[in-house]
Amino acid sequence: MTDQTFNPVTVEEIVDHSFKYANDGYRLIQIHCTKTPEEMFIIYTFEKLDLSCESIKANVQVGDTVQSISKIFHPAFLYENEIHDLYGVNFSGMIVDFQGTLYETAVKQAFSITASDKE
Amino acid sequence: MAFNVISKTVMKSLFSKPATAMYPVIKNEFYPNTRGSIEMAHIDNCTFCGICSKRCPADAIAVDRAEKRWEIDRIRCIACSFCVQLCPKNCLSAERQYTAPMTDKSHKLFTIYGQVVSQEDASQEDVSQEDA
Amino acid sequence: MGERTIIPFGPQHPVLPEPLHLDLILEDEKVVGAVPSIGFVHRGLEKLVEKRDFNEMIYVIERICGICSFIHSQGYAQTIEGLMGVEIPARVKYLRTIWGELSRIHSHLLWLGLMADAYGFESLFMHCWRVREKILDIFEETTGGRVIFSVCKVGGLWKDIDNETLKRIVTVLKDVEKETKKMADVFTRDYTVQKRTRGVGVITYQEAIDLGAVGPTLRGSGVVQDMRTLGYAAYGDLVFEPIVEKDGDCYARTIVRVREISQSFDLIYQAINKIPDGEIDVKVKGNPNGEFLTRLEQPRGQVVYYAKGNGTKYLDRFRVRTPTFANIPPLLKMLPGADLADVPVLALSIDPCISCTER
Repeated sequence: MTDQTFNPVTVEEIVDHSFKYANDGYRLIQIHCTKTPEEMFIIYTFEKLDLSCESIKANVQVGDTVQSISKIFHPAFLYENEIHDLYGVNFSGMIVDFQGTLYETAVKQAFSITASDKE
Repeated sequence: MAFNVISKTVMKSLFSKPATAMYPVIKNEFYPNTRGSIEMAHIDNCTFCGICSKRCPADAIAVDRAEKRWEIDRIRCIACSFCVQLCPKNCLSAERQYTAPMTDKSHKLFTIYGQVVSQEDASQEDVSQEDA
Repeated sequence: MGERTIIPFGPQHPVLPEPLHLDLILEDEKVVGAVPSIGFVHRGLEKLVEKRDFNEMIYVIERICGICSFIHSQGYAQTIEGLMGVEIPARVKYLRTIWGELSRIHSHLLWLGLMADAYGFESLFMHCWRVREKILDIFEETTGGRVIFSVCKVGGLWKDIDNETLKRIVTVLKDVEKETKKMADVFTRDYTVQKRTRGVGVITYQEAIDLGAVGPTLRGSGVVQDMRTLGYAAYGDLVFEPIVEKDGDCYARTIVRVREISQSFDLIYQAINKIPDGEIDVKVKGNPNGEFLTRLEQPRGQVVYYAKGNGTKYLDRFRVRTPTFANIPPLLKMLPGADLADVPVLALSIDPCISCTER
């Protein structure tokens, strides 16, 4: 099943891959971050209208700047703002930038790797 | 397009019994499956193993093996009945009736069974059970 | 050109069931732009997965939302079962389908009521909810809860519905279906309803795709997409076609939901006719490891679950992309050009569920 393939890419390649998916008729269905005690990944999932679906996965760190794909896929801006608020990954060139006010959490970057994870 | 399609339904409900029940007069009927509140049904069988407290998704149950005490925090309990299904001795049950409304969080917060009874009214164990 | 004013809409607004905030930029009576803000009910439930055993977590996940609670638990269970390679019995698949479709009926009836309320049709609102009450009674009888069922678990179900009860459910549903038809008639034929919904908030075919719309919002614009055609649970054995309307306005979105209700009745009858006997759970051994992505169709649209296990009983990550999150960009597209008085109808036409969105 292609659903479960997460193709590894680098952060710089994300925009190129997004372009390719956009040209192939895919649309973005979600972006999210995931973490292990050591590493953080950002995962983009694209889906075609015939329901085939593919994901790409890149390694990121807190404080990294990733180029936004919201100019290619309009709905991306909400996901990117969400990741910025919860994981502390910055995005450059978002079409709507909430500047960290989408989710105002008591603890900043509440979902990112914390000191307790490393122990 | 038509005007006032709903008028037939409205006229019908005007001359029929209301769909709602007159609550304090007519009490709601619960089904045998209804998960109203979690109760300790057979305290004699309980071995105070603590599985219910460890697996509770809401951390609502506290079990003390040494003091033989089983407490449930009614405010935290989400009545998912996970503890009822997990209990190895089948001593918990989900009662049909919902927990009565409470005005404070003090002693009604806990149901205490076993040898130790509620500190507030330690004299009568039965009373504290009824209250809860 | 008139003067520009900014009107805050929500988070507390009579028409909104949940806290969505929109800054509406107005020129006279016309909306020219809108900026959304969410985050009023952010609870961080996804983070809780690191502190809760994966078996307990299902009770937390299903409490993300009160309306689509069952499909959330079904989705969670399916994701973890997929992750661990657990094959569930056929009866479980059918029962999950039946409960899922009942949820869809009750969610759509609730939405139809709210929509009627949004354009001030109070009596229609109450009648929709009166009909919905019968479905909630079926839930309480079979699962023990009216809204939160707590009946799904990883590897199966806690409760079975015996075949006698299933037969009785069919007779109850036939009654409900008749009542629903009367309500549906008002939505499809009534002049006042059409006056408020026809031609309002049009989203074209291409816009719906580009803006990432899902569910009835997408199908209302003529795009054929329904996650149920993936054939998860028992949908592979049942006969149905995704429901599509062409116009892309609020009326089309209403009609999609009205027709989906009758489709759901049909799916339940089919499932009850075909349901096999058998076990309702399998033993799940070990802990989840690896990553898995699942897509399901909720009443509001496509939902995406992603789980990542690390070989312990705690998951690393559980991600829920709810339908409303995907439907916010289309909502922002609908608003410019609309009258201020139509904003409540537009905001409701995507069936917003903000608690879902923020988790």
